[in-house]
Amino acid sequence: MSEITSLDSEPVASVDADGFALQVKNLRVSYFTSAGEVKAVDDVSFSLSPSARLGLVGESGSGKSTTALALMRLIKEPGKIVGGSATVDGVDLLGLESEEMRTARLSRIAMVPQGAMNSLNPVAKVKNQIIDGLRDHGESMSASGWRDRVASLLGKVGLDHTVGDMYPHELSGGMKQRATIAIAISMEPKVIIADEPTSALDVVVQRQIMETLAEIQKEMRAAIVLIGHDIGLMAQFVDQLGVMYAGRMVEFGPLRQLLSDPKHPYTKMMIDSLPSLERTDRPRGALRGIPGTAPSLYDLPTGCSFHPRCAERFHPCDQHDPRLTNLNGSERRVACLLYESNNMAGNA
Amino acid sequence: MSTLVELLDVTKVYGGGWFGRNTIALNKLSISVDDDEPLITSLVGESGSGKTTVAKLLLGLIPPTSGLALYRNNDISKLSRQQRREFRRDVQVIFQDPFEVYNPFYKVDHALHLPVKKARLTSSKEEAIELIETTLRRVGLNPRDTLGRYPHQLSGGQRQRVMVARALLLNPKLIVADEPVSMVDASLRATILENLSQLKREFGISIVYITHDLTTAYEISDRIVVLYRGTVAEVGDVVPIVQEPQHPYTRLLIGSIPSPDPDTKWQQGLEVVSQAASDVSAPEVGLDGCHFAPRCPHAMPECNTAPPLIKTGDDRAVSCYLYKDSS
Repeated sequence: MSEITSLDSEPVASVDADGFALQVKNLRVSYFTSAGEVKAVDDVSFSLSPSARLGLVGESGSGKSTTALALMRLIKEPGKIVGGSATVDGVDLLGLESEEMRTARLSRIAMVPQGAMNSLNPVAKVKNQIIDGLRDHGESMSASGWRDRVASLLGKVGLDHTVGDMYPHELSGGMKQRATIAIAISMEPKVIIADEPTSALDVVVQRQIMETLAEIQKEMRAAIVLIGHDIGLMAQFVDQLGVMYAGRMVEFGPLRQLLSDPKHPYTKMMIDSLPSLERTDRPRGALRGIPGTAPSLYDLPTGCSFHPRCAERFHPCDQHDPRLTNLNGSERRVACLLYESNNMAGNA
Repeated sequence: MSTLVELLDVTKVYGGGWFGRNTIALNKLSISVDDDEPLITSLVGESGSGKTTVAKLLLGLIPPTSGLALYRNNDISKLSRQQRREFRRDVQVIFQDPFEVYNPFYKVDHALHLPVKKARLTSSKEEAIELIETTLRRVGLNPRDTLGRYPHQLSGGQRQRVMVARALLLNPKLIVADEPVSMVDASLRATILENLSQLKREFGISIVYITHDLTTAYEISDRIVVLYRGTVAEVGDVVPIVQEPQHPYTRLLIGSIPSPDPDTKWQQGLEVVSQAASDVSAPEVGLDGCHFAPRCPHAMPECNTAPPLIKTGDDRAVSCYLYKDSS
């Protein structure tokens, strides 16, 4: 690896109604517990063009991982997808029969899991785990055909073909994560969901893995949804960012605009709380945490869920529930009353 | 200048196992914490660098295989009863996971009363309660919202702060904080880091902050020790080290941290090492040379013998032959 690939993704392809790789509309996931219905994902919508990269950030419990699991249709009891659609290539994943969904996984949408250590089968060789998925999708070929296919997939993720004959315990954490990426891309899906793919790895390995993922995605023109909480990683990888809070998308827009000029008070506070090696707008060590704690989904505050922690709240915030609305004709969306009134004034 | 705790030329080997493989967790490492001026010292390293082993040695939880672990110039394993009691008061710890350090069957009061009793801090129950309430207020907790509750009834941030209060009760000179923010959300992370700085500023307590995250280390610490597979790669004042790293490993580490500014490209000026060599596993006994040499773009023949720490500035040193002419 003497030459470094740029992590810049291609400019987002022109947006026409059917040109999306993934279109999520009004997704809602609830958990039905003895204490009542808990809305883990509440009315989340976004669209991604082929090759686009979206980052979803938020505190634990904000619904980002639940959104990922819902798109893969892997929500378990007592959770349930209660509404919305998720269209990949003209097919609504949420409307598929479970057998059809099994086929759609890997071929339309695939997931790179969080803990590579726990998602590989410890007693199967890497090559057999790759072949398993392909065979399950009806592929068959000669032994030498499989060998070439495995070698080519391993090559794409930067692993030597000899890794195919190894067991997961013989691999380092980074190599294991590369192996899970090889499985995820084996059927060239249109959408790749990566749920904190590098959170268990050291920063040096993280950079290398993200570079590999970027390279593959570029080649396959797949859309990526990267889930995480590391804004640095997002800044280096995605081109659109969605900020989630208490199951809602509270801000959504192009990465640069969102980071340089955050609108939602939560986004602002989140960015202020980031440790950094190069901040010049405040002295070293002057970190500011967000006061209070994330609300329990069992007992959400009335009005805007963020209002008890918000420094900019005003009278109607505890009664009026803000909806995600476009900001004065721009492609940015924010769910905050501060801007709803602006918008109304602008529209009037 | 008096030293509070010190590791001198410490080697720690974890050994045996089924396949008789010994792992060197630390190789001839020396660090010290002085008593004079409170400082935050960060120990930064990836998994397998030996940072938690250093924490355990500083706390006297494990003995070194060779070398010395000292408390006020006395061997920690040979302290008298009286000295041991002082050591247990002076050096406190905050662990990684604020969820697992509590016994779920006891109210949090238990975790606070125990050290008061063990260290005989007060002579009556009333005094104990007063001391605990004062200490809780010092870390920004309201005793009424905290005492009488079970651990699961507190938020993660409250639990971590109760742990800080527990350490603070004993009026320590040093707190060893082992990855205190790696399990918490970003918003809470900032608050806990603020608390650590406050311990130094307001109560004059030194802190050894153990982390894999160089960014948070940079934000709160005065000094930094960069560990690589059981050896010190670079040590000194945090600002010059982060702004002008010298050791090739420190440079690789800093270059790998994704910048939150999309216009600062990730890989600018980064020396790339081959994928095969960059996968880390702990070294086996018998690795004599520089541990970073297999990944280092500047490796040269003399790297086969371990480089000494070379002084390159007023308060910094680097363990790399590239700087042998600077001393």
